[in-house]
Amino acid sequence: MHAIPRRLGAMLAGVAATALIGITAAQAEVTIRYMDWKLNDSQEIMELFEAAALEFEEANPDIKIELVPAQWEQRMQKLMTEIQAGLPPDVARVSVPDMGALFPVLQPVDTLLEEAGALDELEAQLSQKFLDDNLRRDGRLYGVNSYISADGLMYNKRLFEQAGLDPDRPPETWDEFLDYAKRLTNPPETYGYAIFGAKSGSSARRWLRVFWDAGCEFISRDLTRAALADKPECIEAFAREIAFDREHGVVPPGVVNADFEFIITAFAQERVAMHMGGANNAVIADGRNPGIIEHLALAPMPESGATQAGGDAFVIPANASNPEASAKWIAHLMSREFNVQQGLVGKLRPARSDAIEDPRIQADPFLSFKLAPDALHSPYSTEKWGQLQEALFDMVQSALLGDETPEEAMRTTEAELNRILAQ
Amino acid sequence: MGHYLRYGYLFITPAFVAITLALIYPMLSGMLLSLQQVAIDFSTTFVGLANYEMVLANPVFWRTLGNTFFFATVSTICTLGVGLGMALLLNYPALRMRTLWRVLFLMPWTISHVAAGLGWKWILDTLYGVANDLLLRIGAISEPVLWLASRDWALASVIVANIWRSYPFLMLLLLAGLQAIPQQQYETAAVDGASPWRRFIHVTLPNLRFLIFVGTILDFVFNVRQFDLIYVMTRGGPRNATEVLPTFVNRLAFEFYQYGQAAATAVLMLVVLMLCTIVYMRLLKVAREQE
Repeated sequence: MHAIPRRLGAMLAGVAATALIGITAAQAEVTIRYMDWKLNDSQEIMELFEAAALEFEEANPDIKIELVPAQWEQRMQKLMTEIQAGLPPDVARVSVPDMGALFPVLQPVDTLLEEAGALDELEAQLSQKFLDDNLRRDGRLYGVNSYISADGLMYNKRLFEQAGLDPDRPPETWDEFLDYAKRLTNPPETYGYAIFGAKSGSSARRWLRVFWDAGCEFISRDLTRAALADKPECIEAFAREIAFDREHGVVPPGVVNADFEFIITAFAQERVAMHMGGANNAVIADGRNPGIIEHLALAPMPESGATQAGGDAFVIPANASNPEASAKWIAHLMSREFNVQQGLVGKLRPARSDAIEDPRIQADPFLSFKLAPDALHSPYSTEKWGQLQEALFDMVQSALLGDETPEEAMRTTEAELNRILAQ
Repeated sequence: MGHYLRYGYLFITPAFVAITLALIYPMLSGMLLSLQQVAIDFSTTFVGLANYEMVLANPVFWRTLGNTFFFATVSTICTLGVGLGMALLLNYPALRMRTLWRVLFLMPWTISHVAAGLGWKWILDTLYGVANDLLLRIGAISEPVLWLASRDWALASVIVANIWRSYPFLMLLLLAGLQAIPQQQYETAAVDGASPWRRFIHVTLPNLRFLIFVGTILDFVFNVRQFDLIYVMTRGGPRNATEVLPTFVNRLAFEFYQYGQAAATAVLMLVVLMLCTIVYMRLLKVAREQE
């Protein structure tokens, strides 16, 4: 008579114990949401990260990794919205120009990386100048970068040959560049050079190069005033770029609408012979036209070769819930081998100095591309960058559409930049 | 009576809760945000009407407002024209394969704004677009038209894309209206010697008046709120030529991080839409009274 209740009691106790163990196990397991726009770059990159996540999970059985792809153009909107909603990713890859707006919503990673046993090694391997310029504020480190990209002149050797140009001798002066661009232009089939006239972050960094190239700044480095027309050379450099479209006709029509998507597609389909781009542009172009990568090459832009020291940062939002586990995942992504693998698969120049020296990286013509350190400039780190960028593109499009001369457009923009910076 | 009243309240409670959560709370929250300055770390400071002052002093806002009304008005008028034309065609008694045509004419409505925007962006592309290619082949133009890259054409281009995406709604509405018109009215008019045109003016249009009215107002409101199509096709450019209120709000919030000003602009947009709705309700009442 008592056997059934006793058996029932034992069963219930067993079920309760199992549930309790399950709950405890579930509580011990942490899931790291990792947001990254690079996951969308190619299937190979996604597979690389999936393999890295599996490897990490094996080494850390209490931590699971959830990969969250983001669109490049929407990355900041997605990140900021999730942070504001209180449901941020645990780790996100951001682009360095984003950092100006992000510092207040991130947590420092130095102590966390130290606890994960990775800080000393990373401090030794990464460029201190890059970290200081872009990722450090008030003495604290808010992110670590896995690559430093430098844009150069990405060109199509086959189109060079067809135009009677030496494919191994890219233009070295601006006069030569114009001559090459004219010889490569055969409208409406092919155009010598592509200008990024549409408003976007990737276009902005190419326009900043125009000012750096002339030894100028867009705004002063102390972020207090416009500096784009400080010297006659600044105006000349901007006017030269506009003239490629308005005077020389070496640029595809509709330049104010030419964004990265348009230009990389035209480049991949051999409708454009030269554009300013980084090593990973070769992979993206090859994704659109398989095999084209064999005909592509990367060289410094003519004369100064000035460009942005572009790059990324792995960051942890201030309101993220699992900072210690997140730091472990960042440390895993920053390992030498993963840095090399990411470089090879995504054509991203590794940030770690020991990864750059790896023979596999050195053997890659796109990744071994180097520029003089003084040609590399850091972006302007300010939360007002969105507004400043808007003013930049108003100037660019005004000149490209012929609403104002390049000089008039620069003067108008100078006033607007000073207004924004004074706010 | 009290018993029934209690049941009545009980039945409307789910709808009331859903509307409060999905509409009223976000609306009030947005209004509150419009009175605050929001720092980049999302801390807030009450600033009264300062955000409204800044928005109203911004020349881009006024240009955007003008663009919004131009876009909405021209889109609505043209969509009505195309929708009515298509409805008349589908209602034409001698039309063969009616079902096939109906499905084909309805297709644009089944496509999302984003997909439609991407499609039109490629059609109108200067380098690859089929529009330029076709016009060049038939000799209608001698050089590519900068459909989305010139201020003269960009707004017109997004309006055309919007009309293509929107006309099936009015077409369906008016087709239902056309099929409800008693045939005797046409027969009587024909006996009286009325030409097809006069029958259209004196029989068809008066019968459709109420539906035309409802359809155009709704379409106008949809057009004022249009975001996806324009964002995908031009992102408001070049030089704000296609910037409309929804894309402007998006820019203020997610590119400039000026959440307070973005909320103030959204509230101003709400006021504009509410004024449109009041006019709509009044006119609807008049139209009903005339029926």
